[in-house]
Amino acid sequence: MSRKIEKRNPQTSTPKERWTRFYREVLTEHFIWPMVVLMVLIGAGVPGFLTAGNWLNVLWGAASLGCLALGLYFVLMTGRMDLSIESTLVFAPTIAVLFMNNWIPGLNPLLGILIALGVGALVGLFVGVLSNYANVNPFLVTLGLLLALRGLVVFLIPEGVYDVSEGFTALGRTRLGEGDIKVPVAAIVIILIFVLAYLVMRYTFFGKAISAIGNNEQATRVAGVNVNFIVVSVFVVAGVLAALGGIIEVGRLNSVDASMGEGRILLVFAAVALGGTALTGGRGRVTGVFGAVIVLSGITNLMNLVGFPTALQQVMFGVILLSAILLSSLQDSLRKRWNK
Amino acid sequence: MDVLVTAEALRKQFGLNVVVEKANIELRSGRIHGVIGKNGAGKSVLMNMIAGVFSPNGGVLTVRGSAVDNDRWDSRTATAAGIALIPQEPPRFPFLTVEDYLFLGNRKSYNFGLVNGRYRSAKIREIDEALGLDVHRNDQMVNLPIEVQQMLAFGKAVYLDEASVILLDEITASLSTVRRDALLQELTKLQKDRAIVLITHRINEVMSTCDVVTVMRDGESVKTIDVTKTSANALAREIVGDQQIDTSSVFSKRVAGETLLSVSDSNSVVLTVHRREVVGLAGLDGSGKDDVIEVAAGVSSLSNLTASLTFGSRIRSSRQAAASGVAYLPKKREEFATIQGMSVLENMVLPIARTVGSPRGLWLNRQLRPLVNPLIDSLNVSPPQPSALITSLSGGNRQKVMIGRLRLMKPDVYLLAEPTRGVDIGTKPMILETIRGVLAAKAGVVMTSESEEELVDYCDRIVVFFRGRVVKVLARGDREFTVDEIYRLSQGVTT
Repeated sequence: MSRKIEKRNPQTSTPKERWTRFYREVLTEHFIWPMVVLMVLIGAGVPGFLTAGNWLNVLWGAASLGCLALGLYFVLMTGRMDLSIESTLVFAPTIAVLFMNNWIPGLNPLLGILIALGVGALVGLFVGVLSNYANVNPFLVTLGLLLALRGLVVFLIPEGVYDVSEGFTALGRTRLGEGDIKVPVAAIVIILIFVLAYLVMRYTFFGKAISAIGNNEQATRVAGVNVNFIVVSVFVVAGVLAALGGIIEVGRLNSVDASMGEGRILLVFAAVALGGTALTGGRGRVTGVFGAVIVLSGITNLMNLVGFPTALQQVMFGVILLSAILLSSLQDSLRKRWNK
Repeated sequence: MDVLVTAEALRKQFGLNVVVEKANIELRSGRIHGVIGKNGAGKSVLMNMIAGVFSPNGGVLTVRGSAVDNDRWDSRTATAAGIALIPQEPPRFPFLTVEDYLFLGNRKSYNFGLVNGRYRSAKIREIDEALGLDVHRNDQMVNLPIEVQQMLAFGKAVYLDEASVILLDEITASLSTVRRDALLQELTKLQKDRAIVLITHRINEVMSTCDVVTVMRDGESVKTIDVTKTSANALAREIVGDQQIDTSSVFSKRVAGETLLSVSDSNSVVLTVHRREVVGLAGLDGSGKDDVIEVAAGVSSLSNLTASLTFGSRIRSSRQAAASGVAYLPKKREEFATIQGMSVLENMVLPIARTVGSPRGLWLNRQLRPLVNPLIDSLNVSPPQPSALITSLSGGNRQKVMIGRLRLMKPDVYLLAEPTRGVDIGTKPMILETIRGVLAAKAGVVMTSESEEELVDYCDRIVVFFRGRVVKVLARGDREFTVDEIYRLSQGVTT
């Protein structure tokens, strides 16, 4: 018996071997963290970057991008795609705000938040059902929705809405605590959500089934897993997360603008890809996506601190996306070399 | 009759695995040469070597009188030497039109780089008439039936590439009866100035069409016989070889339990499975044996077949089958069973994890490891770590993991489609003994195998299929429960 236990744990190795294993693991599976370190080192020279207050701001700014990226991560893990989350980001809070201001004036803002999340879920359900049961490619379904929902928002609130109920914006606006360091609620929310996602992927059947589907959908089906249900749920989760991101963003801006988040989907893809998620499904880590969101948000923050021209920031993100693609193919070849 | 191609002691190995050794064949123009043998006998590999798809590792290949350099022999050179191989699966060019496909790589169909319409029309008409295809030049390949695609590949080789050596690798397997007869007719017409090779599983085709036949067994060409001087029965014996195993002593007859599952077609029961028995399904590819398993597993639905559980309803989906105690091992393991990016543990528990977690839905390796470890030990999976990636295991060990997965489901019926496929020779007996000793101890087992020996050694009953019908059911202890007889029956040869 003891011999068997020994056989199961062949971890007895020299420090050198352990070091090799460690850096190989980091380079092939957690490539984003060396980049986070690199960004911190570069940022160390910029006054005001490495302060607790600034980092809370980075997290605050990362909140809505993080919600979208996490939703897309789940969808990509199943080997599918969702472009519509960019429009859900603005569509869900728009409907909620219209409910509170126009349709049922005086509606409890808490109900407004629920309405927004519900709208996100419905959009996800629509995408999931259409792509799964009517066999339409989700790329096309969500491309259609991306355009349709944005158009609907422009039609509904062409001028934007500037008197949003305080209860509704609290999630994105409020800071907790006294004195110099006040913690934004959004920063707490985003961390909680990522922790939750990490636990789901690691410790639940739902999470394991998601990666199994992305790895080999046919085999997962044959193994008796309800693939249709899981895939639809994943789209619903992405919709709810996009709505949550929208609520936070509306709170931060204290208004709803019809052009909010327009074009954001590209940055979301950049974040998820930079985090090491395979666009073909089945491979990716929640921690990687989190790291990538931090890197993107941190770089934006750095550029603002040093007064980098806003027009050129777009160029910067393009360069980052290109290097992310390059790095992921580099990671693939490293993985092939080291795994024989 | 000119000798066009000679192969002497041709050898091919993949890694350390020698698949063809001592293969001899002589192809002459004016003659249809049958090549026959069981799956894995090396027929296709030999043809692929002649056609330059694989370069030989040893031996001498002579084409039109001059020996070729084995290392430089590739499909381009072979095509230039007038050798054409029509493979088992038609080439996949889904969105090419018939015209574009036929004239792919054909220089003559262009004048100074411009499409030569007159030449093309004439040739398309010629092929269409000769083979009776009734296709339009602008049809897309994907919209044509497989057999028409196959015939187009044949037509391209014969009439456009003007090959003088035509190798047909089991082309008749995917053709309908009418089309097959027409093709065989056409072959006898074409053989005048060409050498034609016909690989087939059907002895009757060899008897009716070929002039000579080469029998292959275990990677060797054992005999080349003049067809007029042999009989279907004698040929069947050559294919199986003279290994007469005394099978009745391996396992004794057992008393089976209650009926668990039955599959029937529109008018009769095709298969019944009882507790504590192993039922083998024998037959050629396309004989219907795979359909029976797939319908019972709920992965495919055929209008004429229905599978139902004794104490339950009809099986309609794979999920429902799994939930009602039917565990299925697909034939194409890598495509339909293993989840490549995941660990041994994750692969094993995937079907049951939803219900065993406590609280339900939770996935804790701590809770799952005690389920998996005893199976890893008893099946002797190597490496024995539950956290090892499934892709780091050999084919045989992956199959053990899959069998472990099925055992965890604690089913009443195991449906095993070729459980020894892609399994190394050393592991096969272990898997087969587990099937008979462990799986069939509590449940009923249905299995197929490419090897009649395995079925005779390990099954209690064998159902033999031929062209979609059950031709015979043999039980252990019957006088006819032999490899010979089963092979003959699955060939449709009756004595």
